[in-house]
Amino acid sequence: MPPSKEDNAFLLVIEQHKGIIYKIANSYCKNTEDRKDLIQEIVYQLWRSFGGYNDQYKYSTWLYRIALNVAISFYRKDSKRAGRTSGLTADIIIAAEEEEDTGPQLKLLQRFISELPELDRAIMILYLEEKSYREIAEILGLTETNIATKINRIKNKLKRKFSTIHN
Amino acid sequence: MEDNALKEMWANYDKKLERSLALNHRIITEIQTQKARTALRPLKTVKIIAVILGILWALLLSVLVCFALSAMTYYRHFFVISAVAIIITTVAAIVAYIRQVVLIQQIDNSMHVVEVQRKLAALQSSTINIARILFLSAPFYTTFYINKSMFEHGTIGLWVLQLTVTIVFTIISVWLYRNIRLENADKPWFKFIFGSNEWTSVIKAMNFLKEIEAYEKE
Repeated sequence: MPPSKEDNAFLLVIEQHKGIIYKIANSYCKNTEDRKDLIQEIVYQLWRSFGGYNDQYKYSTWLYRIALNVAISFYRKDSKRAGRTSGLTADIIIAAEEEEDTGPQLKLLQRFISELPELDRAIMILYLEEKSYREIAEILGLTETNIATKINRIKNKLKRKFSTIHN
Repeated sequence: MEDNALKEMWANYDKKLERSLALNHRIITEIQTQKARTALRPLKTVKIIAVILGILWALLLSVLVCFALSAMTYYRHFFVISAVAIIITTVAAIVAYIRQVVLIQQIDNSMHVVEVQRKLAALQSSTINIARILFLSAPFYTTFYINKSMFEHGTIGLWVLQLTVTIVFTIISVWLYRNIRLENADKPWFKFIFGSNEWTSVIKAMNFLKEIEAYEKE
């Protein structure tokens, strides 16, 4: 059966936002096998929700909400996930080896982000993605003032961590 | 480390990913055609087994109650009342559990992140209520076997032991029913009861719920 318009539209959205999906999965899951499962779960949940997409929001807002919700829930699940892969052996998003060569500073930033509590981590990812306070508030469901306070606190925390390493 | 430096670093990461990431269209097509559905959402076998065993247990007790009622004597009241109480608590626990799993599946992930996570954590934490209900049935496991022979030949020692066990079970189960709650999650007795792996995700959810509530108030 040839792919429908909806199938192609979905594929296009995933193609355009594959970087976001990968970065979120990478921030909540360091283990390669678990990350593969998480990406599959995110794409599956996006597909489930795609038919009911509300065009009142931007595609990115919709996608961030689902990806973050799935990632946070996945992260909180039983930590004993060894051997529990989804049954699909291939990766949805394939990263070339070049991705591993990210440089020491970025590796540190990724490590510090992955050490943040789940919700702080979501805020920091959105902040680094250059989302406005309004959009971050829209994605998370908090007030803009609350977001501003939290971003300041998280940035200070990260700066302290960087300075500890450099000293 | 300045803000701009952090953002610049992240933007470079973005550029690198742009060059290095590729989509596996075949897997996405499989997801779109639902082929991957069962593989992606495996309901834990242990949960299915627990529900099946619970239903079988309630059915077995129901059959035994029917037999007992068909030839009812005074002494069989102990068995009938105990078994009915156990059936009621077992069915209540199964219904609460299935309802909770269904509600978790129905949560809309495209809603606000904090709201979805609070709902999920609250639902997962409510698993603890199922344990509370089941603890309430504990005293009835100490009374269902009381029979005519115990009344006719039982010594005082036997009855003292029987009464002690039943009273202790009743006090403990009522106490647990009243005290198994979120506020007590840090107490040693709570950790002792719910320290096994099966409860890890529930305890995590309870702690996360506390964090979310504090987070919104900040």
